[in-house]
Amino acid sequence: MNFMIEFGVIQLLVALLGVVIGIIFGALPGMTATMAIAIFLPLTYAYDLSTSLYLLLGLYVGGISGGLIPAILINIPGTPSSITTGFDGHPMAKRGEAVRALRIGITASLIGGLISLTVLAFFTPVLAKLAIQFSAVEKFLIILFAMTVIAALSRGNMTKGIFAGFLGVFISLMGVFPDNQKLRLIPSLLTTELRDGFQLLPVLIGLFAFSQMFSEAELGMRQMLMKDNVLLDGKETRKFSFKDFKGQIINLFRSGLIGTFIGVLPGVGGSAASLMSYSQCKAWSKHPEKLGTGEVEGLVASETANNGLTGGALVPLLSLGIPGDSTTAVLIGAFMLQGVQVGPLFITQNPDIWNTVLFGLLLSNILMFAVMFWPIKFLANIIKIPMSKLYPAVVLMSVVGAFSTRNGNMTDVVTLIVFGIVGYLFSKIGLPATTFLIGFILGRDLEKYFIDSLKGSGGDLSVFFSRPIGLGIWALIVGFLIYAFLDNRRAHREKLA
Amino acid sequence: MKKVLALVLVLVLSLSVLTGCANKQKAVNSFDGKNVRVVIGSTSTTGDSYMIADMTMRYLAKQLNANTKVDAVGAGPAFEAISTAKPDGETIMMFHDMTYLGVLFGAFEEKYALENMIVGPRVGTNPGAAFGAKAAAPYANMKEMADYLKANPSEHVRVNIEAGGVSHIGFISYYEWVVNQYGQDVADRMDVIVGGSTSEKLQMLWDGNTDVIFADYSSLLQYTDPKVEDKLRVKFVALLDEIDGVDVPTFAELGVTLNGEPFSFSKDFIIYLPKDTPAEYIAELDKAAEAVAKDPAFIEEMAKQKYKAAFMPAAEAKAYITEKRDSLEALIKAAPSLDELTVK
Amino acid sequence: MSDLFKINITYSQSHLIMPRIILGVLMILAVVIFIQEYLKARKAKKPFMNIKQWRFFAKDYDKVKLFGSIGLLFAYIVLLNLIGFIAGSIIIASLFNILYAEKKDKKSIAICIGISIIETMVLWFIFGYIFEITLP
Repeated sequence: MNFMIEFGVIQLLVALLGVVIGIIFGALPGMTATMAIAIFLPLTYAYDLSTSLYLLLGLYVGGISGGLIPAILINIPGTPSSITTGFDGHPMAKRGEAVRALRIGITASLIGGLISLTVLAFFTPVLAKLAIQFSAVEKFLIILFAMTVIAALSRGNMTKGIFAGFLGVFISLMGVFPDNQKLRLIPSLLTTELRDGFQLLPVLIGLFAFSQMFSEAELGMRQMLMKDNVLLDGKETRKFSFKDFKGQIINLFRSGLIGTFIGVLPGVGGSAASLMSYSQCKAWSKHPEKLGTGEVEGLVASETANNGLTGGALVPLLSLGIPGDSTTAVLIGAFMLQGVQVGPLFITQNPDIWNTVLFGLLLSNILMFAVMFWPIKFLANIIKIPMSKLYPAVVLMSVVGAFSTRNGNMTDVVTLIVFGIVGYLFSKIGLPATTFLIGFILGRDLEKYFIDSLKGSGGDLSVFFSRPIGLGIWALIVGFLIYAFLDNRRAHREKLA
Repeated sequence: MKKVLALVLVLVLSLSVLTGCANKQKAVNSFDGKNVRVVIGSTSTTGDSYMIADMTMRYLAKQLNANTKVDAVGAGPAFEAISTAKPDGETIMMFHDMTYLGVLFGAFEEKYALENMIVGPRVGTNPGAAFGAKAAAPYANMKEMADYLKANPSEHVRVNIEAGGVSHIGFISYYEWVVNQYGQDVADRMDVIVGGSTSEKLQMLWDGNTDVIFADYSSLLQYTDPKVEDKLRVKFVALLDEIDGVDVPTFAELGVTLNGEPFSFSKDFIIYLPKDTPAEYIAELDKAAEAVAKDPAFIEEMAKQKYKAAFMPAAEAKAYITEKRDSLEALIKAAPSLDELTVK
Repeated sequence: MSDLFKINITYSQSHLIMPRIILGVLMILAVVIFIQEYLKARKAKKPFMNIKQWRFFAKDYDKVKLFGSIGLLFAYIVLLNLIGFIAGSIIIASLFNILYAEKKDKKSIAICIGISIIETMVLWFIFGYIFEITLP
């Protein structure tokens, strides 16, 4: 192999800049990696392709990784794919292990990134072939499989959890249907504002951040998120150590590969990766009932999977010319603008660029780890800020984020507040906001692939049972649902006992 | 502590005041220093809509001294944006013929009609609209495709088009031609599949959910390379218009006609502005667009992708595009609806 | 029989298929929840739909802070439209800080306003100025 990689101080600095800015965008609620890349894309005209790749890959990896910080510290996912990170990360932080949780998350992110990079480097042609075997039918089933996390999350309260999940799907369907451009489920007064339905980011921040704020306000704003007495002389009781990963080897690989694979499938959103990984973690766990209370396992599953996405999403981009997720869809612009076509011949015709991508991704992952692992100690102090000072800042950031989701649309800010109230009401009547959100995230994809499958088959429902890969996924879905159902009954009995 | 705080405050405030003033100093034109959002009617960042808008705006931004940002929002949101945005030059749209075709086909509401926006200058055209099929398909072009359907009465061919798009007009003109030349039975066995961006169409082609797709010539070109493995390889089966140096039969060569004339169709990329945008904005845009279209670097960049720089001032563009629309109206009104075309 | 497994897709109506299916599922689930709750209530010998004893708000809840927060958020939207991002954010963030602050003497109010100004300016500088993101 002929390795020709342009690399020097400038490239290193550019990658570092990308990673740091990416982390900031990922960490701020409402800002995403996609947005960061879109902002920086025009800047790359000034550079050659390899330098811009370092910058953009840095932004990509940083943007995906930064989301874990607010998820763990203040239970607000910085990006949609870090929702599951907060499930176990935040309880850990609350019991005084913020730095430990963050460092586990960062390490898991690095490992996830490296797993997917390895897959990208060695299995791209094979995976590209596999990816095109997945038609609308298989994608529908994959989305359905990701939705089983709803069942896993509503242990002990299954019907309500599933109800909230489907309610989320229903709400996500509001707005125009792209196929025939027809509006549905929208009050006629709001057809302009809600033409495209509710946007994900404001819904997410509203449900998490604003509803939490309302609940705290109701209780008169306690001092801190953390319980007062968990710190010993202001120090954390449990420190991070690499021993935390003992027994997590299988989990790491499973989650990293799930993340990578979801990334490889074009058109299946990135958040499905961490959701699926989390539910699988629960299914295989020795003590599933503890997940969600601050278990290392759950945190690792979530973070390994969402960084696993990065390498995966580049597979179809570089080998088929088809972006694997919304972020790589913007990334493809960088290649086009420099006159490089990504597609079936890209790797053989541009070995230098291909190697640069691999190296850039490796570098970004390492830089991400270096930039986050040690300094995170200081950032972890956010959790000690009194809530009365924290939430006003969160409000400002969220409003800026929501407003910029669609380049300045006040509807998105209203969405933010409305879903804050919705989330607050949910908590009052015992409906879980998380499963609602998961339904909301997956709803549109569920519909798209359902309708696409039926369009291809002429409306024949048996199409969902006619393909071998599809049958395999069915088996997984059914198996998991039976497991979740039995687990739910066990939870009931425990409650009665 | 307090002193530092006060100092920071003073600094930040004075900075904001200064930059605020700087922005308002001597405006050379109405767009000077503004953040201009350019919506396009496609969600893809690899298609011709994005590429042409991006190239144009990079050159145009320099002429106008504005910050432009191309936003790939898709047809519906783009039309919505341009018909509801304030006429302050901060939101413009750059799009091709789908702007009026979508309304004509009834895929989009009447309120998005050309009459409800301002037609600005045309900057370029793209003749490169092409139909493609799998390399292994048993026909080499769309004439053979009709022959093939005639010879095999049990076969169907699924054609992927975008509702209200250029592919829609291309397909129904072809459909009319097939009905006339081969009879209704053959035409009935061409099933329409609606939807998708170029990458989604390619996936549908690969996983066997459609047989013929419609896309921009340059975006499909790399998949036609003989070195591409069989499973992924695509071949062109027809073009809507001649492209320099490309040897694929056009609709006109196949004998497809429209109103008795050989059918040919190039996409016109025009800048659209919200209704009531002041006339001086349009005049300035005309001037800037003309300069861009004359720039040799721009012409060369466009030619690389088989696009043509072709300036037309706003007034002329309006008359031209309205006439183009009216000439297609009869064909569209006579065509069967998508409800009928999609039924198998 | 095979017709049972068929959904006819009419192009112009295809936007209604999924909403109908989901609505159907939701109604079934609602009925199931209703029955479950009813059975649970009967088992525990409590009256069904125990509205009298059910309280929506926590005991002695902080009315001012709760409704103040919601009110301030809506006021924020109005202010953003009226006086723009910087001024609107400083005012609302200050009010939020003051609303949540425990002590409300002059000094802490001054601190609240100071924090709000800094936060707003930092946000404006990074996003509005450097990255040129559209701010309200």
